[in-house]
Amino acid sequence: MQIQTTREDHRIAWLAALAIAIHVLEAALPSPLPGVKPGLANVITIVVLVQFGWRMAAWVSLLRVLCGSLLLGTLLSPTFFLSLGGALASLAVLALAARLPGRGFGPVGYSLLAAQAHMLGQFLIAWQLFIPHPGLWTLLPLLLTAALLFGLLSGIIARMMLQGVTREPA
Amino acid sequence: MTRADWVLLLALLVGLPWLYLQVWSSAPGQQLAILTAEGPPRILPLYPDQEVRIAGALGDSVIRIEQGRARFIASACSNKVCIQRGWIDASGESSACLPNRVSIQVLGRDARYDAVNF
Amino acid sequence: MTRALLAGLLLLALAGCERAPEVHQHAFFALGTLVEVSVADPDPQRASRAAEAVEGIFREDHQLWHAWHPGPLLDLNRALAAGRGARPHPSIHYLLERAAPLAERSGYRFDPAVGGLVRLWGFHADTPPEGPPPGAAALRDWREHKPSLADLYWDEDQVFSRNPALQLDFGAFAKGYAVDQAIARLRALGIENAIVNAGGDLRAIGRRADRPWRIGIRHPRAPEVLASIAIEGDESLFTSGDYERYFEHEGRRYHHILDPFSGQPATGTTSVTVLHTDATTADAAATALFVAGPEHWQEVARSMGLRHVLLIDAAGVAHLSPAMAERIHFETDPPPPLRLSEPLP
Repeated sequence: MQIQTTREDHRIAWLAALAIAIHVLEAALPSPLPGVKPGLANVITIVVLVQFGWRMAAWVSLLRVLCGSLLLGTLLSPTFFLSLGGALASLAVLALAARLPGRGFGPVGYSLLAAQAHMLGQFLIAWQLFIPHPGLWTLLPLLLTAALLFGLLSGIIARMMLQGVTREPA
Repeated sequence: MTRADWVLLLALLVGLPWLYLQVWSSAPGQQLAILTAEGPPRILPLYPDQEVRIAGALGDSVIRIEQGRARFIASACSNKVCIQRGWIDASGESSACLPNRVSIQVLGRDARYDAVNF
Repeated sequence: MTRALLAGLLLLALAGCERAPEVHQHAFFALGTLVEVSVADPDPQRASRAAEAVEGIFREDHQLWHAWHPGPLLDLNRALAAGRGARPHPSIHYLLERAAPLAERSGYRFDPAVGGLVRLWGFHADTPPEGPPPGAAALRDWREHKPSLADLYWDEDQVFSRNPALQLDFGAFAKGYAVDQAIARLRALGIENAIVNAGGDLRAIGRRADRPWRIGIRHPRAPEVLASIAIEGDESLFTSGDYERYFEHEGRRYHHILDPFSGQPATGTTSVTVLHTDATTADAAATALFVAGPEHWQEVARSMGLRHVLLIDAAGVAHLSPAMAERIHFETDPPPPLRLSEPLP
């Protein structure tokens, strides 16, 4: 039996595959603080958002969380829920941000927002589901600072990629 | 970068230090010191939850530790001021049962007050 | 690169919290209250030795001044009741000498001669009484005899009483003196930065190295801090409140700050806070102003030489002197209704 696939499906698949690769590679890196990852897979989400819109960014992002956890064997584990919570939170914020009238945000702004929302979403899930210890709140400013730095980094990379994409006409 | 990008970055650069101040100036304590008339204070972590029975001058006081906070839930004293005090969780906060000579205090990095006139 | 960044960030954060100096804390029960000693000193061993020396002082005083446990004060009270003269213990002699002018200047609203009245109400015991309040006849009897410190007279080193109903109770006064003694001992041991807090009665010297000492004042009607004051140098902050010791009988609340003239718990006030140089004066003044109430506190504050006073009345209004208004910071939102007095000299 043959499944009809569109051009868009292929694009989603390719970009999601790229994001998954980054996601898995990052998971292999040691992390000094639980929950702190550079989140470079976000670069792909941002590029897709700017180039193809929010709907497609949502597909890529959720596929990454699902397939990434399948590959890493963390499906339905705490790590998976943290990832999912982060992804949903950042998608929600991006949906709002993309509606901003005028020129709105550029890739750096989107990336900063996505990173903050991602971290906050993860944090709330961690606090609600796993460690409802009020001491956890003392970590929040640190985590959000890390998110600021990495969000800025991913944003700059996404911007460079987008400039590369637009400079060479198809 | 667009103007919105810059505004956002600036807001984050201002907002984060503010968050540090908010969260760390009133950081919840990590440990509870229980003082009785005799002997050195007993230090307990505020996590995980537990109930402790402490022998005081008149009888037993029961202290409950729950989700990083603590309170008296029973006491052998007559007017139960300690129980009415309710939960305490910020560093430096305390609750005392003077008749039974049992007092609890949250220990932490930086208490908001060095002493409280009560 | 990212790890290095994070490590740097963590170090920075940790450095931020390590900067606060170590303050040695020591707490114990004495004189019917919880005594907390905080010492900020670069030498932790000296700090802990000094704090323990303070505990020694309070334990000793506890023995000496207990009005109803065997000891020098009980002996003196028995002699006075029997109409005999007695040679008081040196520390009681000193307390009497300090108390006499303070009682006089307070118009005898502060008066350690109310031992009989305190006993009548049952506030003398370690545990608060359960009531009922004394009967009308007993209180009338008290008002007819109405002993006061002015009834004492000295003959050489012996003290006599013209009034056989006179019984001494230093409950409202001894903590202030003990706090002064404790600070003197800390200074003798080379400590320059410390707080001695005996319940609502506190004296602070020096500062906390990085900033002045920050003292909270309890809200008389809620389990929270009403206001705060920064103290640097050497000052005493005393609070007397109706919430400290009380009992309830048939739905009415009876507290421990007794008006010597009516024989009843003083009305109209819920708490008084006094800021003054020495703790002994601050202690006597807090009691006297509480008894004086929202109508008369300014006269008493003037005659006792106070400048910094905060009085919370039964309606929750904060009456305060201008000098106190400059120092105090209200912590509740909204702050209580304020009523500023004329400047105290």
